[in-house]
Amino acid sequence: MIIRSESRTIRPFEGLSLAEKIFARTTLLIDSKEHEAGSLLLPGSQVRTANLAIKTNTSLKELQQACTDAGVPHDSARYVVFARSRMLRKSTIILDHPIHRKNFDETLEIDRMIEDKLVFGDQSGFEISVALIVWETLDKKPLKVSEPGTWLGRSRFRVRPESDFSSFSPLHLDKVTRDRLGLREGTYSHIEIQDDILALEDLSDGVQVYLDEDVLNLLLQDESDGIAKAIQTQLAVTTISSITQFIAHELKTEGKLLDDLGEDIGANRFIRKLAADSKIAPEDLLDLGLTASNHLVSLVESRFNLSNAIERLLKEN
Amino acid sequence: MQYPTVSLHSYQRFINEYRQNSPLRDKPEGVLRGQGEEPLNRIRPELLRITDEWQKAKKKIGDSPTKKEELEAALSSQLFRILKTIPVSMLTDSDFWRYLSSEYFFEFTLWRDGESCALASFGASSAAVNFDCVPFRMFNRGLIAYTISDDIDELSYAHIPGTDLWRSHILRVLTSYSASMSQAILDEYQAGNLPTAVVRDVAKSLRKNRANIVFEVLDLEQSNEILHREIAKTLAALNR
Repeated sequence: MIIRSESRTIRPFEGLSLAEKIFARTTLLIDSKEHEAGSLLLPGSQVRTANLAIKTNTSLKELQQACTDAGVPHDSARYVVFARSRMLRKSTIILDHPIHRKNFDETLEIDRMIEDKLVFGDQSGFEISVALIVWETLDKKPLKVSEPGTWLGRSRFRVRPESDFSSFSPLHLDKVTRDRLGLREGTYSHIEIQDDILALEDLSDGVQVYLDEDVLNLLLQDESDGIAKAIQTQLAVTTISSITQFIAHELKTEGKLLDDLGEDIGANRFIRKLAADSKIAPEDLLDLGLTASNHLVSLVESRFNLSNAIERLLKEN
Repeated sequence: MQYPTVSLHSYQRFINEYRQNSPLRDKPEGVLRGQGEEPLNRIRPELLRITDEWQKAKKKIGDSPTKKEELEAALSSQLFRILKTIPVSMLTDSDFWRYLSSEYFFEFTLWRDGESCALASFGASSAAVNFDCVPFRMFNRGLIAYTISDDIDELSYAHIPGTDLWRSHILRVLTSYSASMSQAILDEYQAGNLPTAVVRDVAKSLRKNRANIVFEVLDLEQSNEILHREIAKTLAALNR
């Protein structure tokens, strides 16, 4: 039996609901197409060259009201757009607009030619954040924001290439790799997970999926083939189940809760996304990973509709 | 533009053969990616100069971990200056870093991280290189120093030695996206105010602060204020 429970990170401030609503509406225009906040997978060429703009979907008046609600003077807050490279330790502030000033544009163009190339030239992707931020120290009051840098509301857009390794693309499992990993001959697949997985921003940086080299070569010949699709789906199920179990065990070993991981941590996002997709509480998902791995695998199979893929495969053959 | 790359698979294969003392082992050949001019050719002599400098220095240094760290620190700024001149698309391709590792930094990596070091030190543990990859971490060390100073001739922050500090509390954590917070941490570390027993707890506190505060927008004074507060809290908790 699964006991349903929910948790959410509570920020220790009051009066932020309008700011949160405003930033839930913010979108990123990529070559004029509107995208909601979150992870955005694009063709590699688009990651490198697309025209980018922030559609704020708000007004200066509404931003000022959000500040008033939070107890922040209008001249102490700024609407900030900043970005950071995925691979290199480099960030850049694109815009910091004091919200007591006029001339706030509803759409904010990001000129990649003049912005930091170490950020927007990163072919592995970048992240753009938009936030309403307290800009200077305010008097301390209970439940009121006072520290500079504190955000009242924000939205984040993680831009990644489709061909990215975040898709956990399998690598060849050949004799050399089998020997290195201490695997026996005939091993068909292996998932290697780094033990610092709870510290990684990008989960895929710590996960390597291996598939028998002959099978992988056959798969790559025609990825749309029914058998190829079924193998890929099965591998995805195995990978996701293994990662979930590993995260659950690491959290337990380190005596941590999911909430203890920052929202930037890939393991945190992974568990919450899988839990939401599977309509189950994150804590229950982790519990399955610890105590009922067979149920976890079934849950992930259901998420991928594996029965459907196998049925199609059987009918086709 | 074209540049040499080494795939994860071929590099792993080579490292494996090297470690099994295979007589047939050859360093993986760089496979060219792209077309047109090859920017790396411009800087190859300078990369060789770094390896020469290491070869000369290593005899004097011996096995001292402190001296090894000091040399890595000094070479980091040089490597950053050299690589800063090539296109960002090369610098953000993991296979290019594997090429650099294999062609110019293989022996240096074994010397620096040990003969039995993890594949990650070569950038060969996963498809995307991480901050354990020796040349990649050296470049980013220089990059952080450059972001702090905004002056390519003034990269002294990269020279502050501290293997664990750089690895665990700067490069691998998102704090390092903030130049002012990186600077504040390095200043306090150099002043002796962040010993090992303190820095770990302070780093955890900073991570909690990041949930509410965007470090990237802070100036140095604001970063110092947060850092000093967290150091004081940690010291109080440790009864110092």
